[in-house]
Amino acid sequence: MASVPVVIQVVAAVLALLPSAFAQEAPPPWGWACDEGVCVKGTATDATTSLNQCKLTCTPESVVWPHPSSILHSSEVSFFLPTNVTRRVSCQEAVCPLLDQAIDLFLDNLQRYHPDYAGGSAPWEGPWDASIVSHTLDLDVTIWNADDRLHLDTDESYQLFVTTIADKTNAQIVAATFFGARHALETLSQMVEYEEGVDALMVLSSATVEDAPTFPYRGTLLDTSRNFFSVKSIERTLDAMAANKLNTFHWHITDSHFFPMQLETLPNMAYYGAYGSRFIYSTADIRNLVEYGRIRGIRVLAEFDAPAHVGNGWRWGEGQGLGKLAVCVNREPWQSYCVEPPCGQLNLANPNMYDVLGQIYNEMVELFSPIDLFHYGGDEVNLNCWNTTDEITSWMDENNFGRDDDAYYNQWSIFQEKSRQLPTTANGGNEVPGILWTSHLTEEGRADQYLDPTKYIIQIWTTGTDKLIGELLEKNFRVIFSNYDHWYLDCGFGAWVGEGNNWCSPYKGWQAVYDNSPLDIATDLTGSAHEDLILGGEAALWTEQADEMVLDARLWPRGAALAERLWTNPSHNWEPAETRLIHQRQRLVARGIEADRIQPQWCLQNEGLCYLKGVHQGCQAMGDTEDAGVTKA
Amino acid sequence: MKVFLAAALLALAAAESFFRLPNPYSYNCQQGLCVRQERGKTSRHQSLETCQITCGSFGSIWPQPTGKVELSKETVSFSPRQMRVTKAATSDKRVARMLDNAIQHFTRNIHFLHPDFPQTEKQPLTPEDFESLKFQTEDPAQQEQYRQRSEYDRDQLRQRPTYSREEPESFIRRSPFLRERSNPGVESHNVNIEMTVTASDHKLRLDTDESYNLVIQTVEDETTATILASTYYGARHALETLSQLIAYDDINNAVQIVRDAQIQDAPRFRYRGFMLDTGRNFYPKEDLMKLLDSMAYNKMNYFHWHINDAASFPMYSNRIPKMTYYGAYDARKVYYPQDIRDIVEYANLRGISVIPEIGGPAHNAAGWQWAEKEGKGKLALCTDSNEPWFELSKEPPSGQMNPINPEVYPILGELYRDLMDYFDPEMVHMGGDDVSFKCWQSSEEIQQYLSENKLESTSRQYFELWNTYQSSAYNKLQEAAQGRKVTPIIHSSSFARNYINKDAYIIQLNEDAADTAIADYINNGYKVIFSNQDQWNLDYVTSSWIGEKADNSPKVTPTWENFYSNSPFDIISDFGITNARSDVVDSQQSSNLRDLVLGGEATLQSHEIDNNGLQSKIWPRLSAFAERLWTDPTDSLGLDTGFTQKRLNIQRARMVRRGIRVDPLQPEYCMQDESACYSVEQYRARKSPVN
Repeated sequence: MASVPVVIQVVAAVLALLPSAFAQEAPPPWGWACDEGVCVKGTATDATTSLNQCKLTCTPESVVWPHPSSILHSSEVSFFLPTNVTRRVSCQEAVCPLLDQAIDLFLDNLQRYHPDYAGGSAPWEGPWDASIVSHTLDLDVTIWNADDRLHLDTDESYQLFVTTIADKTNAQIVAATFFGARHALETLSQMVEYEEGVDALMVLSSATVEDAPTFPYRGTLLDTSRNFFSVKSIERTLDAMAANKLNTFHWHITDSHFFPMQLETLPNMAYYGAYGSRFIYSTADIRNLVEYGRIRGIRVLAEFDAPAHVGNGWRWGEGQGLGKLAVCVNREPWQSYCVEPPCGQLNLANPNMYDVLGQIYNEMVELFSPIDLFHYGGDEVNLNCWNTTDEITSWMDENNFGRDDDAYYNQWSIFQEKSRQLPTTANGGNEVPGILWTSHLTEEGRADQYLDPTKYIIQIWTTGTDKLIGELLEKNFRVIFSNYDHWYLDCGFGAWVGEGNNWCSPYKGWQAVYDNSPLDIATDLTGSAHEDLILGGEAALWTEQADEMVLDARLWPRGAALAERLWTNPSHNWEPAETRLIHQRQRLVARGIEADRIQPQWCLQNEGLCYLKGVHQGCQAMGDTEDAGVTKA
Repeated sequence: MKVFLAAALLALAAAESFFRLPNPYSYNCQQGLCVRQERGKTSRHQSLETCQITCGSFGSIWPQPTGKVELSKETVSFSPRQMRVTKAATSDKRVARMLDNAIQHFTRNIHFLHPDFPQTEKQPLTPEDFESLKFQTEDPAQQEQYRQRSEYDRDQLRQRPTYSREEPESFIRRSPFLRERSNPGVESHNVNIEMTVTASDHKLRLDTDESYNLVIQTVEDETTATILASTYYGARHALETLSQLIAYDDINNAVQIVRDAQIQDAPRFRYRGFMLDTGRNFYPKEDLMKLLDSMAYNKMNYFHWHINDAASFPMYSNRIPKMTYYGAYDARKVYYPQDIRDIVEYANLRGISVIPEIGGPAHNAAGWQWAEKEGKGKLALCTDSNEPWFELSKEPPSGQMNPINPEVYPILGELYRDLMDYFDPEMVHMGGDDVSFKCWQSSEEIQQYLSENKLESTSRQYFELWNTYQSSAYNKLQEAAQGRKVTPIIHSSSFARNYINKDAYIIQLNEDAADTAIADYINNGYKVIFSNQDQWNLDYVTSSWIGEKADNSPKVTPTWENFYSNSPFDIISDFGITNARSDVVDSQQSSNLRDLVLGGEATLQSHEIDNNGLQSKIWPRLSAFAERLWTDPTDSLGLDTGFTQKRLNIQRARMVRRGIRVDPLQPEYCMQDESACYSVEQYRARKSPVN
């Protein structure tokens, strides 16, 4: 304690000499000490460490996000430079080049820990002790399986062993597939931090990790059909997903507003349907994104939404003698013919429509190949649109289909079955499971009347308390959860048509995202968790009110909260995860993702002190009497 | 025929270039909305941009001017290279240099209109970029040198074809307009800018005349934009308006300007402010500069800088550096004096005055720790984290000034002196919100003081303690000002109502719009800035930062319509303070009310926000707020019909072009067909004709 005044005098002297450079010259006044799993900020002493080092070693179990199934590690760290990483790999065929690229990404992520990282590199300047310069991080990766594509039954598990002997830290990774191995690299990268004082990286000196995801489908939906997102911004999204071990990028690529997908055989779709020549995904862009995702362990899943949610892009048919391919396109007043402007729905009465649809699927199957899933959309069909279109009503009458709701649902389901045949043909006869949104076809008592549970997976976007979920599970449908009351990320903003907040308000805070448990929902509704039927979940960013200007902040760090639910499926609620989440958020920012901040930096530096307990009583007590309370702001 | 032609072209064109074909759509102005039609169905092709800047009474100007506006329905195209300043008349050298800077910014914004201008290059001009623009008053030799250079520069200004030099300014070097030719037909069209500024003000004050007159005339191949303003601040607003009468022209790879126009404009409120909190989370200097840019695009004029809070003290104090040493989050998160001066100067050039806040007595902890170790006792109380924060303050971390420690005030005085040096402020914000009597109640030191002085622990006593703090701080502020007039601002509170001298302070009204306390302040003659927390608080969007549900935050997010609709004079009228609107707004006469209601301020406390995501959290809601304060529209027609939304969409797109990440309000589709996205109510309202 006697040394404290001396320190202050030294500091004061330094401050007096170097008024505007004090920060670089004077040692930081604060240090952190690990106290029962919490980093406590206090005056710097020999016993304290940097915040980064404390976080790496002190946080209960680990700072890895999402939390591994099992992890044990030492509280020691080894310092090394990112240039001193070696690799030894054991793999087969096409997996080897993939693994090489994944290791390159790992190395780039190490560079990004440097606070002055910019444009692909960082200024590592030292000076360093000899022990730091000579220390190496040796990667040793073994993959048994030659499978280089992601499926619903891909084994994504891995084992990771970190050991340090003298000046070598060995990281041994063993995984069945490339996908497990890349997750291991992600985990390893999260066991590393930057140390300001020595201008080097530090890695946990020893650790044992055994890890596997709870759910095979861990998705993020991006809608590029209301507003455009540049290829760069989608790549950034894939980067952030990889950092959270999410594995499905669900691309809602077209809608009634906008058709941004270039098709070589059908150029008119984008010519008439795109917002402009700059707002188009070329076929090369799409192929590159599919590959970009694969290297990061992510399936790029194509959705082609039909028969509703089509419109602009389909209007050229008449001019080419194909008749009306879509009806109700931009029809007014929109409130009568669709859920949001502009309207449009496929013309069931026009057989040419199937030819065009087939051509679209042909190209999509090839662009996204090889596909293991295909999303048909199938939501929000407006019967009034069809029933007020002469061409459709006379077709219904001529064929004696009837004109009541069930008659239309029946035709819709026939359309759906025909649609399913088309990509199957395009895929060389290989059937892949189709995904459909919950809709009129899946309503109470209807689902198994119109849809075959062996062929379709249902994506749920009702609330998490909807009885429909129980019914789907009891009828043996495999399901993906996107219940809007927790996993719609576009909620809570002003309405985009008319006044007030938008339809699914309020905003889904990260806590709500974290706490949404598909297995608990299933248990509540059916008494059984139905683990075999629940493939996973997905957070959806619909983009009536988002574009690439705000993409990162909308998705992150809430996407990270989703990821831990789907990977780890923790038994606890958000509270114990908070400190780790704000750490993961900082990591995402370091990697160039403009993730939202969720707390003042003070909470990052003072773990556990931004607590909720008692806030309610506290505020009431203060509000009750002005005598002793806080005066009103 | 047309369709077949397009089909043939499509077939011929290689896959990559097919979309270089002409846009298949044309736009028509119908009742103030740009309606999309397939080409060929109309005789004349008009691009969306042309339609947007000419359609409706105000084209795409945001905020809407308050005086006469006449816009021709035609545009002329020109290359930005053919734009020059032909006159910059002012009798004041410093104003001349400020105008030069404003022109640089204006020019950049015109070049930014090119869709291929790299988005990453749209950063604020660095201090080095405008280094040459600094006006040094201290050194006589430098002054003389400056005078000579300035005259030389002004000669150059008259002669040079400013922006078509061989070596363009560094900040537009990457402009696609300089690398690609425009259509030869438009290369010969010249645009001249003539500016006259009559007064020599070079610092914005509450009484600054911000009005301007802008005339655009086109004769043959020459367009002249004439700007008349009494101050620099009016002139820069005029340039802002002028930039909003110019749009990209994709057919000619050029820009287009409204052919003829006449605009008279002046703000309805003189205080149009925004508060940012840099104490809870840090914002790098460049982000603050970008914020100032974006405020200028909306003609906002006061930046209330809530520098520190209990969580951190990021301002480098020359006089007491230990405040920063102990108080900053880390060494990278500090505003050094030069940073602050750069920001203040940058703001001034954007027509914005900076109001620093070092508030108290609540919201103080970080930075004050050093004094106890040096024997000065506790400057801040309740900073011990062993006590639950909710017993001591509104939020973590707790901490409040120690009003009975005499060491506090000289230190405050030193900090105020720093503020005078860095900011030369017209006003200083002194805080005054969220004071917790429970904190003082829990302090042994305070309790001892009370019993020694035979005082009771009652709320009245705590108000007295608060008053001790406030009046001492006030005196220190005035001492630091050394005779300059510096007006303090303080948050409204029961303390303010009972203790604050209405002639010495300005009150920031945080009450909800329906709170009758507002009427009390007005009736008692306080000068006020409206800051209704239920309408003009930008915080409430995202996750709650402590716990899952913060009971003190509203369940709904204030939307841009809330920001737009909240009208100080309507609020006052609703409280029965008569004829607020007709007396003050319509007749434009000076009145007691006009002197009292200075304007409004939207606020952002950075609990859940830092520089990532700042822009989208505040824009475009702040644009809506800016139009309320600049224009103060007296009817809700624009909102009812959706015209305001349409104009706001355009302003949003404009800001995005300038490199600001503004939240989108609607799908792009709604911009490309302005008639398409309406509510039932708007559909009906549109049926009644609007000019």
